[in-house]
Amino acid sequence: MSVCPYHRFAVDYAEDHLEPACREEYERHLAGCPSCRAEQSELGSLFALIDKEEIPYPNPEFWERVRQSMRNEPLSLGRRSWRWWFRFLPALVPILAAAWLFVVHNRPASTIDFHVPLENIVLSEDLDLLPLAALVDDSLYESMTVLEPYYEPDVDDALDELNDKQQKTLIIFIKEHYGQKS
Amino acid sequence: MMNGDGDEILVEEIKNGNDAAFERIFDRYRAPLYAICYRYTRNDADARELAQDIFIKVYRHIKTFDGRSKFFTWLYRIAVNTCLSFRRKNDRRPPAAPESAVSVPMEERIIMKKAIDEALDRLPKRQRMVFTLRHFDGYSFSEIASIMGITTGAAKANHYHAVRRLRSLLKEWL
Repeated sequence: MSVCPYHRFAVDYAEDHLEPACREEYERHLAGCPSCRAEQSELGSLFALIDKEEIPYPNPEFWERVRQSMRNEPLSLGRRSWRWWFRFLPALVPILAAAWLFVVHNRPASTIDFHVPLENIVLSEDLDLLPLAALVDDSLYESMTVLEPYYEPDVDDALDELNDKQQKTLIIFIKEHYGQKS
Repeated sequence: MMNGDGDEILVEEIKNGNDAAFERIFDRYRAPLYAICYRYTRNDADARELAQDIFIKVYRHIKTFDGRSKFFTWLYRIAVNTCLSFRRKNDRRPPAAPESAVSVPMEERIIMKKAIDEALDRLPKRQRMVFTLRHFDGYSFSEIASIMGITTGAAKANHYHAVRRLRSLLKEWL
């Protein structure tokens, strides 16, 4: 399944986030692309549906109660004086020394490794984990149209419904683009 | 979208003991922050509780704001973190849809609101928050990344997935 590369502008267009030049180009493209028009129409319906809701803002009495709660709060003094620590210094020294020894003996590696193999994420989880696990960078978004064929709406985020060939292709794609960081 | 003009001056005044300056910060941000809380929690009781928590935290710590980021980024970070760590105490739901000018029968509006609530509720909380900040508040991905302490790429990806999932969950309404 091939996806029109202009699909990646659809959400930004619907949310009015496109730069004017990009917007004009996309509108010119829309006029001649039924696939993008259908995409735009569905997104427009989705956002119209979500945007219908009005927020029931609280009445002024609520905000007055919040003000009262704040007035009852002690204000932080910002940069606190640290001299009071000196009073506890004799007791703190052995505690700090013990804590330092504990940390030195139990310190973790300087970087956090992601120990789950990439294959496991792709085969059993979903793409959400990739950016959240810092396995990919900004270019993921740019590459979404490449991933699109593997990412049917009906499948939602689950990738475990891909056939073997699709799974292998996706794993190779991610490894080529982002390296094997797992 | 808030641009935060003049915030830093107000914060300086607060640090110098001018409580009235905090009132101006409060008046400026209470509605947009409440909107984030409401859109995140989908009900007004939780949103009120969150909004109150946020402003108390801000009031308590505003003098520690060191100006390394924009004030509104600092403020929204507190709001977002408070929302993300919020655990609903029970399944509080509004009894009915809010009044709206849209000419849809009341019963259908209630069902529709329930469907939207459930769809947004089913988004992972980071996706929900990114979607809220982007779609309703109009923040750029780099601003969202600063507010939430994630990469711009993660903000984009979360938004992308949120929209896809919402389309899928609300398919029958489209």
